[in-house]
Amino acid sequence: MKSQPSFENVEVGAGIPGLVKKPTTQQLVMWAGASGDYNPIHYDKDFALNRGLPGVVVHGQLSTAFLCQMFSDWYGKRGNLKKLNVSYKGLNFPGDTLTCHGVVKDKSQAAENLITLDVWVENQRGEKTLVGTAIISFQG
Amino acid sequence: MNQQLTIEDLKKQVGQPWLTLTYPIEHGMVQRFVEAVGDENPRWRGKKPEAPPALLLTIGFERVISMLLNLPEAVLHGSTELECFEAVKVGDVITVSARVTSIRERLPMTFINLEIEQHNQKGVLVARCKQLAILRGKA
Repeated sequence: MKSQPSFENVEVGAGIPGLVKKPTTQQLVMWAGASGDYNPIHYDKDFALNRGLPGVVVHGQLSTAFLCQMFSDWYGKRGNLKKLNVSYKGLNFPGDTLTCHGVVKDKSQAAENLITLDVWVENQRGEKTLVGTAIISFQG
Repeated sequence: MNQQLTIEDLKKQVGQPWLTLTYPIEHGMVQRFVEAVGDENPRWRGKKPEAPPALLLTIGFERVISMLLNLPEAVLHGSTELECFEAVKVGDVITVSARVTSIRERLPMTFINLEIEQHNQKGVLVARCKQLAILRGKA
């Protein structure tokens, strides 16, 4: 495991380690099975084209799950996701290279140790297809 | 099984309890999920692991998607909000309550806001999820 951060050492403005993902059509099928989201726009090209899309698209929530993986890879056993808020701004396609990013926006020590992150997913075309914020609680 | 649904039916549901479903959090369910994501974090592995937070986004919502897919419009995802209050582990039984909070039409688009609350077998609220589904019709 990577070394895990402590609340004290996290600095506002710093980035957390990113995560790169390359979703394939096989992964979309696996996600459909695991999540129960069988919307045909994620596996049926003709259906997607007929609905005005350029082709089969990656599930938005799979991209959100990639972000969540980035968080837990970072905080390890020391943190927990408290709140996540994301908007889906663009489409990703199988074969895209998606990079998850997070930058520390705020630290708070009111009732518990909380860190707020600005988060986004960017594809190889430089498009931020998912943007949002996350709040992580830290145990120390 | 899918139920036939129209947007007018959905409008009648605004603010009302819509779906209530129960999900036992099983080991295989969690493993299929983390394998689909490609997430090898040990927190989600072992004999009685935690469920990753992203799993909570999917339970209950898959039934909503299934029902919306009966409509002729393309179903897209606009936004997601997840609040986690308690950890969920393998062995927990989660009851999901979904309701439509608002519907806004700006044709050819229809925006459907949903709220899904999840309680464990002790009646404790473990998570609240808000989803924006967008129905995109042909212009």
